Amino acid sequence: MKSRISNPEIDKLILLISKLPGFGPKSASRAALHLIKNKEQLMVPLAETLLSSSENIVTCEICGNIDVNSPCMICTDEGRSKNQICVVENIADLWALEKSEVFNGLYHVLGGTLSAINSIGPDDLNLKKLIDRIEGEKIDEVILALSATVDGQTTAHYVADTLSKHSVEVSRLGHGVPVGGELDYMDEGTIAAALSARQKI
Amino acid sequence: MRWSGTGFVLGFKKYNESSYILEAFTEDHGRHKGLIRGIHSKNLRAVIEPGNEVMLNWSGRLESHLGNYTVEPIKLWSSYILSRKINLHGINSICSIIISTMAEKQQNAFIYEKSLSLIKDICKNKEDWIKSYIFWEIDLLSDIGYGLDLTECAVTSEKDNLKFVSPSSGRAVTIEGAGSYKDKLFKLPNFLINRSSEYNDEDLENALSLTEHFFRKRFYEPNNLNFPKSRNHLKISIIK
Repeated sequence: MKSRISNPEIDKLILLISKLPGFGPKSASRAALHLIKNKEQLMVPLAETLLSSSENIVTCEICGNIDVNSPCMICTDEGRSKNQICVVENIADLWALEKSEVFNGLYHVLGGTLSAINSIGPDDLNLKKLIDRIEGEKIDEVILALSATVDGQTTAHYVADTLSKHSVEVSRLGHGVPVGGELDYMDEGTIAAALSARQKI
Repeated sequence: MRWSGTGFVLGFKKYNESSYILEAFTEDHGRHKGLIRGIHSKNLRAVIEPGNEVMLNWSGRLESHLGNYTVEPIKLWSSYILSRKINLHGINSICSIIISTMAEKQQNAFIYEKSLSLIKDICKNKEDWIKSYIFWEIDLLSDIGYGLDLTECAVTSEKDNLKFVSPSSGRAVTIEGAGSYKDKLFKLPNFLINRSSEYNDEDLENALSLTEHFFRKRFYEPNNLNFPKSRNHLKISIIK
C-alpha cells in the first residue's frame, strides 16, 4: 500500500539529501523535516546559496582549486610566494594545508593518485598543467604533499621523475612520528621512517 | 560461513562513505574480496596498504557472497618502502599481476608462498630482489599454464649454449639453432639458466621483456585485458 504521509516533492527532497556524504534515508528524512520546519531561516537561504554556488563556483584554470573566479584567489594573491608550488592530491588536502597557515606559496591539485588496482594512470592526473606552469612561471621549488600511502608515494616518485628534466627543486613532506604520537603505539614502518628521517637537535 | 586466515593485501576500492572492498591474496582461499567497514580509522587505513601481511576474518551468509572482512595487521611491509621508488613499483606490479591472473577463491599455496617471500625481499630491499621478481613472473607464467622451457634447444635439443628464446613457443634456442632468425628471437639472459651467474642491467631488461611478451601474448591479449601499468613503470625505472 502506498504511504499516505509523503508526497513526491518531499520524497525528492529526502532522496537528494540522502545522496550527500554522511546521510542515509533516515537522517535525510530528519534533515528534510528540519528544513521544512525552518523554511525562512534555513531552507530558503540554503536553496539560494546552493543555486548561486552552482552558478558561480568554477575550477581554477591554473591550479585546479575551486573558487568563484578563475584564476582563483590563491593564484592571484600578490602576497603569496610565486616561486613555490605545493602539489596536493585533492581540494580537501589543499584546504587542510591552508588551514595550517604554514605555507604561503601556490598550489597544484593533481585530482587523484596513480593506482594499480583502480587503473589510474598518469594521463588521468592533472600533470600536464603542472609541467606547463613550471616551464612558464619562475618556479624554484615543487613540494609534493601527497599521502604516505603506496599510491601516494608511487605518484610522488612519478611526479619527481617527470620534473627531473626541469631545473626545479623537488621535495616531499616528512614521514614519521606525528604530533602527540607515542612510540609504543606506533607501527614498525612509521618508526623506521622516523628513524631514517631523524634530525640533529 | 566464517573463516580466519592469513594473507596479504592486494588493494582496495572505495565502496561507499564508510566502507572499502578489500582484495587480499590469502593462504587458504586464494584471491578473495570482502567488505571492510570503518575506513575513517587512521589505524585501519595504514593496515590495508598493498603488500601488508594481515590476519583476515571473513564472514558471509553464503560462500558466493561478498561478505565482510575484519582485518588485523601481522606486518606492515609496505611502510618500509615508501621512499623507494623501484620497490614501490615492484609491490604494485606484484599486486596488479595477481589481481589479473589469479582465479578468485581458489587456493594457490605455491604462488602465495612465492609472492609473500618476494614481498618480504622487496620491503627488506634485498640485493637481488629484481632477479627474484623475474623468477616469480616465470613461476607465475608456468602456474597459469604458459611456462617457458629453458632446459634445451627447441631446434637442436642441445642443453648447452642456450642464448635465445622463441617468441612463439617459449622454448630456448642455441646460436646454431637460431641461424638467421636470431634477430627475431628474445635474448636469453644467462642468469635465467644458471641462477647464481652474474647479471647486468641489460640482462634484467632482456628478462623483463621476455616475461612481458609471454604475459601479453598468452594471457592479457587473448583475455582482452590491459597489461598492468605498474609493471611498465617497474620496467622503465629498472632500465633507467
